[in-house]
Parts: sequence; C-alpha cells; structure tokens
Amino acid sequence: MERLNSKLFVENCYIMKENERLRKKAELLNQENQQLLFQLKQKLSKTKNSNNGSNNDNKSSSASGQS
Amino acid sequence: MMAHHSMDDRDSPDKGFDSGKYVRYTPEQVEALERVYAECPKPSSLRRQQLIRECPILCNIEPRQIKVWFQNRRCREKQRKESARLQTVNRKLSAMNKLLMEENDRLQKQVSNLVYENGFMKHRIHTASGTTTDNSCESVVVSGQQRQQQNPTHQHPQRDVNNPANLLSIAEETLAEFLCKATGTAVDWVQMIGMKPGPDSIGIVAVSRNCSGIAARACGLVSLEPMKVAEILKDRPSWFRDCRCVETLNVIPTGNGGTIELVNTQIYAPTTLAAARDFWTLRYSTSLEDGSYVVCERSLTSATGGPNGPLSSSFVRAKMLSSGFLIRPCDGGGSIIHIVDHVDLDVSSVPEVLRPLYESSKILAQKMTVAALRHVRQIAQETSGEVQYSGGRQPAVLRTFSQRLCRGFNDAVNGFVDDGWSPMSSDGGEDITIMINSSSAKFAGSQYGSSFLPSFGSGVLCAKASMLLQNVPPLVLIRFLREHRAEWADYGVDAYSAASLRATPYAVPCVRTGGFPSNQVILPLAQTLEHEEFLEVVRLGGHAYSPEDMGLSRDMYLLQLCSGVDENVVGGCAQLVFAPIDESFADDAPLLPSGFRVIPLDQKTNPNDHQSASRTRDLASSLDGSTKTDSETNSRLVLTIAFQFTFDNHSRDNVATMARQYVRNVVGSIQRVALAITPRPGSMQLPTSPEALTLVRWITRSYSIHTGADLFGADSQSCGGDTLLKQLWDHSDAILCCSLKTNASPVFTFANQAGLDMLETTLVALQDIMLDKTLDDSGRRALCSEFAKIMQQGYANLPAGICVSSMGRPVSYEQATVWKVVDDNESNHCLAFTLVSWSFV
Repeated sequence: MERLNSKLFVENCYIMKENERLRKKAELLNQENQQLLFQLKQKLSKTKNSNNGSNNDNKSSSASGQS
Repeated sequence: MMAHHSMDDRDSPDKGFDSGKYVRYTPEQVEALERVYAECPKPSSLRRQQLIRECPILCNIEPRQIKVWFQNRRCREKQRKESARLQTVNRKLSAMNKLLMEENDRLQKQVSNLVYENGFMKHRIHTASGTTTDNSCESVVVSGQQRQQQNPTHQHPQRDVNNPANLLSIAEETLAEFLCKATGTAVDWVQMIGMKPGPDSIGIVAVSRNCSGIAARACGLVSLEPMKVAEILKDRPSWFRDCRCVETLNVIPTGNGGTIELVNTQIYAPTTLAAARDFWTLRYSTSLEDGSYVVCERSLTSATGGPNGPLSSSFVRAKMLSSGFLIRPCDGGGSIIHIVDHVDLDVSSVPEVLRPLYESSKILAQKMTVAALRHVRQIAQETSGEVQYSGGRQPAVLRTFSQRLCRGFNDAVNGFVDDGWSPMSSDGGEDITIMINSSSAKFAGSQYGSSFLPSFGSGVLCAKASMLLQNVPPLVLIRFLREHRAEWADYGVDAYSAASLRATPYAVPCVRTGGFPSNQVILPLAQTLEHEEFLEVVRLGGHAYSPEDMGLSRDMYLLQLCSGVDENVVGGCAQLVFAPIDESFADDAPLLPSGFRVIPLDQKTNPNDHQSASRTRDLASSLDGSTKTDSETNSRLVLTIAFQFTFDNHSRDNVATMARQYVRNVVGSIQRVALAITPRPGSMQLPTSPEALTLVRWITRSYSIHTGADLFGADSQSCGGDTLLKQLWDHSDAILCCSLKTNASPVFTFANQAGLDMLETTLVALQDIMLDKTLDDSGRRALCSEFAKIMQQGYANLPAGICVSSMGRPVSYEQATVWKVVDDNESNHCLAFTLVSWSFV
C-alpha cells in the first residue's frame, strides 16, 4: 500500500507538472490565436477596403483602425 | 476479534523473533488477554504475574509467552492503525489522481483545439489574400473559444418569469452555462497561486481572468454523500460569512424531478464605505443522467422578467452569472464537488479606491468558493470523528459561536435600517459614524434570541470607521492587534462592556489617552482544519491601580474570533472580532461583537496584472506552500473598525461620547502600530534617526570605556555611525537600554532587533515595558546588588538567569552585562544591557 501510495503521489506530481505545462502551452496558443485573429481581421478588412475602394462599409470599419 | 483469531490459529512463520516456541491460546484465554489489553496495552511484569495468578485459565502459560503475546498484540495494533492511515491517504490520492487526469484531459482537448484553430487561421491568412469574403471572417471569430468568454451573457429574448415553461428554459440554459464553467473553459480560468496541492490540499482552485464580472472555481473531494453536500451548500448563510440572508420566495417543481426556486440573497458590505449587495436569482436543482446532482443559479434580470431595483434602499442590486455546484458521487463513498461562483458586483457604484475589492476574483474565491469547500470538508471531518475538540464543546456549538461573532460584527458594520439602526448626529468630525439601535424588537428578531434582551439595556450603540492604510502587511497588523491587546485597548472600556452583561450598573468610563495596561491570556477553543480561523477565549487579568478602580479588578473574558491570519491562505482578508462573555460561557450567551477587519486592495488597474495573475509557480515551490505573495510590499488595505456598546436611556449621550473618543484612540493606536510594523526597504524597522545614531555611538563608546573591550570586536571602532548602528541592530545578542531615573522605575527606551524579538514587542511598544516586569526575582536581586558597582566602575556582569517577554514567555540567557551609557558631557544617560545567548524556554 505504501508503495502504491508513493507511486500515486509521484504520478500525481507528474500529472500536475504535465497539466502545468499544458496550461502554459494553452496560454501561448491562446495568445497566438488572438494574434492570428487580429491579423486575419486586418487582412480581411484590408482586402475588403481594397475591394470596395472608397465605399465605407460599416461592418468592417471598426477593424480597419490601422493600415 | 479478527486480530486475535488469526493470531491463535496460525503458527505464523514471520514471527521468527519469538525463538521457536509457539503457544496456542484458547478463545477464552485470548478474551482474557484482550480485556487486559483494552485497559493497559503495555502491562508491567508485575501486572502480568498478577494476571496469571488471577486468571486460572492462563495458569498453564509461561510469563514469557504472555509478554510475547502483548508485544505481538501491540505490534498488530500499530500495523492496523498504519494501514488505516495508508488507506485514507490512498483514497485521497486516488481521488486527486482522478481529478488531475480529468483536468489533463480537458487541457489536452483545449490545446488540440487551439492547435487546430490556429492552423486553420494560419492557413486562412496565407490564402486569404483577396479571396475571402466577410462571412469567413465572422466564422473564424465565432469558432474561437473566446465567443463564450467575451460574451457570456448574450442577450436573451424577452421571457417572463411568471410563465413556468419559460422559467424551465432559463433554468436549463443556466445549467448548460454553469456546466461549461464547472468542467470546461467557458471562463478563462487560471489556477490560483499559492494554493497548496497534495493529498491534504483543499482542492484545485482557479480564478477568472478577463471575463465580465469575477469568477472563481474550486474542485475537491469530501467524504459525504452528494445529497448531504447539496443540503449543506444550499444553506449559504451557514458557510458564507458575508451572507446576511437567503430568502426563497417561490418553489416550483419541474417535470423532470428538479426544483426551480426564486431566491433573494443579501450580502453584507465588507466596509462602511459602500452599500451592501443583493441578488435576485433563479436557482435550479436537478439530478443529471450520470447520477450527479447539480444546483445552479443565475440572476433574473429585467430581460428575463426579474424585478428591477433592490428590495431595500440599503442594497445595490448585483448580478449573478451562471454559478452553482456540481456534486458527483465518487467510487467508494464520498463526492467530488465542483463549485463555480460568477458574479458582477456593480463596481461602478463603489468609491474608486475600493473598486479592487469588488473586482478581485481572488477575494471572491477566498470568501465564497473556497469557504464553501472548506465548510463541507469541516463537516465531513466532524461527522467522521476525525476532529478532536477541547473544552467538551460540540464542534457545532463552537461554530455557532464563530458565526454569531461574525454576524454581529457584520450587522454592526452595515447598520441596516430594517434591523432598527439609525444614525446619530455627529459631533462635527466625520471620521467616525455613530449609529444607535433602540428598537429592541427588531434587534431581537434579526439575530439575537429575545431571551437576553434585558441585558442589553435600552439599546445598542455602534461606533465605526473605515480607513486606508499604506504598506502595512495585513496579516501582521491583525496578529499584532490580537497579541498586543494592551497596545490599543482600554481596560476601563473593556470593563464597561463586560459589566453590561451583568445586572449591576456600571458608570460610563472616561477614556484615558494612556489607557490601562491589561495583561491578556489567550485560551484556544477551536480552530478550523486549515487553521484559517481560530476561536478563543481571552482572559483579561484585572489589576487595581487605585482604590476607585478596585471595582474592576476582577478577570474579564472575551470570546474572540481571529481569521485569515494563516500565511498560506491566499487573497487574505483578515479579521479580529471579539465580544465580552460572562464566566458561564453558556452556549446561548449574549454576544455583542466588536472588532477589526483588514482587506488588502491589490492594484487591479495595473496592466501587468495579467502577467502576475497568469504567473505559475514551479512544482517544487508550490509543494512547500511557503512562498509569500509579493503584494505584501507596497500595498494598500482598508481597515474597518466597529465597536458596540450598550446604553441606558439616561446614559446614551455619555456612551456616545465615550465610544467616539475610544474609537478615535484605537484608530490612533493603530496608526502608531502601522507605522512601527511597516516594512522598510533594507532591514526591518532599522531606525535611522540622528538620535538613534547618537545613542548607538554612546552605547558602544561607553562599553569600551568601562570594560576596555569593544562591543563588536576590534575592528568596529573605526567604522562610521551608520555601520555601527547596523551592527548593533543585527547583533545576535539582545541589546537593550533603559531609563536611569532616580524617581521612577526604569522603562526600556531602545532595543536592537534581537532585543525586540526577545521581548516580543516593537520599538514603539517597547517604551511602555518596565525593567522590573522583565527581570525575575533573582535577576532583580542580582541587579540591585551590583547597582552600586555599575555606578562606580561603569559595568557589571550578571550570572545566567531568566527574564520574561512582554507576552509573558520566559526567556533564559547565559550571561548579562550591564553598563552605564554616558553622553558626550560624561553625564549618565541610560543603562544598557546585553543578554548573551538568549532563548525562549
């Protein structure tokens, strides 16, 4: 039992560490996700602006703050 | 039974140390031996011989064998205990393992989703050039998991509470949202820093980041059946100390065996600076298909047909977003609980300085989510009999004491009109609010039994204030207030409060600026499992200083609750609440609590908060759980004080004046204390005033003049004042100075860090401590006999002895040197002491 417990404890520690790692990874990916989302939005609005020319579409105007 | 059965039935080979010869015992013999064992597991040889003589059935057994039987029996008992312990640990570890695996699973899914999504977006960005349309943009945004967290409460179509069908749809929606938060990532959860993991930990606690409102989640295991857990958790006022009441206004059974309740919940304001909160919610309790039980809750807004404003003007309506608890039965008994609290406390109605308090998910976690889990665990431990209480009180009785203290303090801080409180006109100063409560009927109905109303005179008066303190560690402040009551309390006022419990009339004391020193003894009554709350009795020893004070020389008792002083508890809101109690300590003794509450305000507006919140600690440091939060330096806290007194019709104005003056004095003392315990950069408390530098110069110079040696070794003469001061300050021997006046008994004037540690005091408080009180009899005698020598020769060595700290703890020292400190004009300034190798006994 003692051995089983220490095995469980080590395993738990390991999973905790692993979870920590996953959490960090998820966080990084999330940041990347945000960035990509932003890029994508920008790109889309740029495309849109160039497609529409001077025609000011109200749906994309909020995302086209910077050029 | 089982133990001895197996023992007499087998000649076990693993008992080789018995040197061969085994005896078979008959069941009667074993029974006789067991009876003795039950009384005394380790009988002496005399007792064993007596046993053989007294018990005829044992007479054929050799004394040595009896001895061996007892040895084996003890060994077996030990093994059984050990195995029970191991099994408990195993259960905890297995449950923790399960939880962690689940979390792992979730995280892996989250990561793979993100990887997939990001891949998709990268692909889009590369191919997007010129080919995509508006729709694709929308779809990316929607497919992101941010949808839920950025907009957790998307607008619902108008629905009417009065229609049960609509209610059920709101309930089902609440359930779905709650489950997404409880086991999923509908809220951007980050693990709460500083919670201790491991088999003894309370569970896994996470707080929200960047979501609308604030949220906290806890997940843990308890050894109680799910329905019992639900029953406990639903009784919110029993575990949520800030909950004033929960009123169920309507109960509607749903078709699927669940219940929908319409609930009004009132939450006390933590300070006197902002109004209390109330919630108007729909609560849905139901079983799920997998056998777990859920209670979830959400505010009804005007959009969902809820009432608009709060029921009373004392409250601000707050919003609860889908919250609740999920209880899953666990293999081998017990339950796994997931608790989610998600609220929006309407920050905009709060003064700016207090906003961090209403925006902190950590404080929410500490006060609600973790408190709930703690309470369930506490009850589980009590039910299983693992908790041992002293004083012969039921744990439930002691908990009721704690609850009543907290409640009474909260009532005093809030002063609700419907409890009968009304403000009293002030004396011009706006710093302290005085409220009175003369409507005994309401007062009685709200919280106290009517049985003891007569003892509260014709009314209760409360003096209260909230203030901001800078750079004071909250835990240290509360601990100081607890341990050094004499630093702020007035004995006369305490005596007045204590006397109001008795029938005897007692004159309203006038508050003295100096106050009376009183010695207090703290007797512990109970503490919670995680040691975050202590219930204790404080005995205030009475001294009679003058004939007219003789009347108050009897001992007084306070029932005191100190919470949040454990350094391992994160999100620290600490408080010290006490109420005078008479010697009978009856379970239903009247309590009129007063006290202090400190709440740290963390800088929420700081843009870097992001990083610090997401900062995770590595496994090694999180296992020891001892890391201090860095918010303790450069921080602000709100201190709320409320003191309650009883009054009679004719004494009302006098009591008001006394209370106001007293609270002002207490505030003054706290500011003094705060100054003394504020950590300074560099070494703690190191005084750097020119006076201190001069004094240290005199101390060291006098020492070398008189003794011919240097206090800090040979090389210290040459160093400058600052270094000298630091050397003396950090010296491991206690170095103390006391006044040298012919007409007064000497009091301490200065001490280095070791000296302050030894006397268990601060530089400020030190100056009230008398030398006579510190030395014991033989120390005083030794000093007296050497006094002439000190005055003549300048110094004397005293033998090893015992002295007493300001807290009454004995301290031993190996040697003491006393010398007179002379100033620049060669006239006597003070006496200095070094106590070498001191330690607490």
